[in-house]
Amino acid sequence: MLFLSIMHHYILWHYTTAFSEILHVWKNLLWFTYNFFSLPQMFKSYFSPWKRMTEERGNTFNFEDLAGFIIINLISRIIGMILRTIIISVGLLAILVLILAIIITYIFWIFAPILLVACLYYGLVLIFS
Amino acid sequence: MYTIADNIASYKPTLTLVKVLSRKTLTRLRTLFFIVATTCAVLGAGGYFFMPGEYTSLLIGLSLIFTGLWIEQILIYSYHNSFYFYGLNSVLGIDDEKISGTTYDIAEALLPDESDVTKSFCSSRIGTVVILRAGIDLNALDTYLHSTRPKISTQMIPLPVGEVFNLITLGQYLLQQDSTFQKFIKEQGITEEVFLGSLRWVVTAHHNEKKAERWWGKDNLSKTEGIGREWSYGTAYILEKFSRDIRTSAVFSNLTSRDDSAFTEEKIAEVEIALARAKASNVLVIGEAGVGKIDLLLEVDRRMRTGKSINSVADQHMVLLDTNRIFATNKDKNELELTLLSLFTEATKAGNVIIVIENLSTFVREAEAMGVFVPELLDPFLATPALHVVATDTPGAYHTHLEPLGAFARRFAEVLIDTPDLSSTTRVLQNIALSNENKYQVLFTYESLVAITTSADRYIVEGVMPDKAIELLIDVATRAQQSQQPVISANYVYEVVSEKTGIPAGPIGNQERDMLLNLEDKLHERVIGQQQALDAIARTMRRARAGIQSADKPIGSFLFLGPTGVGKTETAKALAHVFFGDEKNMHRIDMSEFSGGDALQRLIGDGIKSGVLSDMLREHPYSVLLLDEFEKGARAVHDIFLQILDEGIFTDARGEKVNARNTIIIATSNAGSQLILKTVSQRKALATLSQEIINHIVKEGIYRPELLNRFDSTVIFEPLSQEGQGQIAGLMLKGLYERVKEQGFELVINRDLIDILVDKGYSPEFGARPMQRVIQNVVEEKIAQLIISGKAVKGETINLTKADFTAEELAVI
Repeated sequence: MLFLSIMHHYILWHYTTAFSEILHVWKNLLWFTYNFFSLPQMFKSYFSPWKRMTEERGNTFNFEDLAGFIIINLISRIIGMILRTIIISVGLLAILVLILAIIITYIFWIFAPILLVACLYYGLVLIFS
Repeated sequence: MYTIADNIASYKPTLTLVKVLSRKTLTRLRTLFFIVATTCAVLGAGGYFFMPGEYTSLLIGLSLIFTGLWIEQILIYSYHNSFYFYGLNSVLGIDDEKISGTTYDIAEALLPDESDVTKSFCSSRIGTVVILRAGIDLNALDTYLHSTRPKISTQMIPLPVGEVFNLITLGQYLLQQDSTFQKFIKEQGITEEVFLGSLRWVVTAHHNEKKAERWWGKDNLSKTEGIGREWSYGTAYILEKFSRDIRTSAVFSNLTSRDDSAFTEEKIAEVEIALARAKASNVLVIGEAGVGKIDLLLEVDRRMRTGKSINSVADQHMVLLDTNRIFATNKDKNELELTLLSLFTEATKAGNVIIVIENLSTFVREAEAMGVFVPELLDPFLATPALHVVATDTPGAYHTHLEPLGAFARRFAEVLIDTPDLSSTTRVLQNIALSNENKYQVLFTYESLVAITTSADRYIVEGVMPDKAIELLIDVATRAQQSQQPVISANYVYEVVSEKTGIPAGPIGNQERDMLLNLEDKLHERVIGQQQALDAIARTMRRARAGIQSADKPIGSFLFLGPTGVGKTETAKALAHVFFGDEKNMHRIDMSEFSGGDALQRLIGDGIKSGVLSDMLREHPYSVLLLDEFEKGARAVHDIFLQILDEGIFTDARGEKVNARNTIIIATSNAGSQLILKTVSQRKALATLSQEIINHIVKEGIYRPELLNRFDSTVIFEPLSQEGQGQIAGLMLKGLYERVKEQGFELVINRDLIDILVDKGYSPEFGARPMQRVIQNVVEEKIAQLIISGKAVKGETINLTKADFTAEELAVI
């Protein structure tokens, strides 16, 4: 009787409240991923030089100076862009994985009780076959 | 009306589950099932591909069964978590969402017996800890719970709307609604405040444990730093050489323990707003050593690193300037200037650095000693919003060294951190106590923490709060462990404090009660006559010990008025003996030496040398301070005593606080003694004329009325009566008797000797003071003659009468 009462309470929870709670945890993880990969900062500073590594320009005009300035600046920005692209890509991939994960989790959750019973049943069948 | 009975019913299934399998067991089983399932699957799969046989299907079958069990454990665990953490965000103030209902802890405590909520609560896991921390006797509680009394059931408690009903709410409800419980608590000598304090302490600690368990909460996830945040900023290589990450600071975090108050939030906001200013975005955090200045900055840094701070300072991070290394590496002015300039230029270019300089005034002065004027050198950097400097200093050093620099000080926005009040210190101690209880194998009651806070504030002179309270807590815990005292009560704390300081603290014991009630008699053992004076002193001291007197003043302060040699100093010595165990605990300052223009500097120091008064109070904080001939002190000296007598504390020339709250201050004065003598000679009652004498002193301009009013009591010592003179002579001769006895002779103290002393040694102007000279020049001289001439034989008595002294001998005084 007690077991049935617990089961009833559980099943009710499993197919109602649990969905919103899974979503709540997922939102937290999404927020974490977004901040962990510093995505806002990455997009904002996408074209910035890598670690502000740039060449200083002299006070007087000089082609050599100008060329040095442009080249170093360009290289620094390209390195920055490459590294940021990597992080942004990994970050976006992680978000994509999270989106897939929530879908899979929900599917798993819906079928979890059946899956549980199925695993036990087929397990026993295999052992005793 | 919904009651909590309706709500807690929904927790029954989950609570039944954990009765069979605890949360810990659930976690262990989950891990075990996963490992077994995976191992069987791997072995089964290996067998299927490489050695197909009869065990393959068995292994895969086992793997499936354990996978099923693992899934079951995940579902049960999630199910339990859903109820276990219900309302936690709301209780901790993380979410603003208004939700109703009871917490899991309420259901856990009350479901065993819903018909008697008080009993269920007190017998529950958390309730028992609350009872222990409140210092309630468990046997008395048991008797109370099993007595016949009106009971509150869960159906009688209404469920509040829009708020979570947790254990704190339940405790408050019981105190208000269960009159017998309220009475029982009072009978146990526990106030409502102590009970609620214990309840909040225990329940908050339990909530924090739950919070730490919930790794998926935003608060826990936000502790991890993001990657790549610093990529768009430069690297400051020179700064890296002369600094370290602020997070490596080994600070005993006190300030952040105040997180249950709005204090830290407010200070963090002040720092962040100042850093976001368009110009001169620098901060100077001012507070006494130990109040948590670096802790505050650590918290600001943590917020910046985890993206919680305001946008304009979001990507910044703090580095602590290693000033010792800078001065050790750069030996001359040019080198130092060059390093500082390069370091600050580089940090400005980096764009995300906040340089933290600890004790700014020390840094400025040390650089100045090498010829570098920091305010001028750093001004361009301090003016630009591209670089932030956060400095710390103490209030004294700030006022003395930085404020006079004017423009330099104005480059910083000031953030003041006050020494925490007593209740926030107690909250800090709650966390420290919890983290030390296991180490020392002791249990702190809530009252013991309150006792530690108040005792540290009142009796521990060195250091500031909450540091000195924490040190006292550790000290108490260590002693408790050594003396095998498992539960630390308030009384035990007071015992330790009394042992450490020599001052009686806490409740008055029997011996002390007798001493206080018979204080007049105790003082009379040494002081002859002066009944009214001693009565006044005893009354004041009893008030002080009973705790009625303000704690922010010296223990007692008296102005002793009267002619010389009537027992003023002797009374001070007697007080030192009674209150601090030895008359050596009386320390004297001759105020006639502090009448010149430099009096104040010599008394409280001049910034370089420390002062006589500051040193004396620092070295002997628990003593009687005797200020002889107080009226002769300079006006500035009297002014500083206005503050000392009023607040029990003053600031010396170095800007450091000096505490006189554990001192009995006695100022003696001959002022008005002529009037006293005249009054007595006219045989008028002195008590009725005391106001007249005080008016006379004020009128003469000897003391200002505001100074006289600051003393707890102005005590008038009258000239000695004939009988009193005889008693003093007797006391003095007793001293001589002891000295003579040491030489092997027995001196008879008779009426003749007493009369000689009174006749020759007492004068209205000098009181009994010349009597000592008579003993020395007349009596001792006579005894010496007898010993040397062989007329006095060892072991025999010396009996001197008036006839033994010639007129010449008596004239030698």
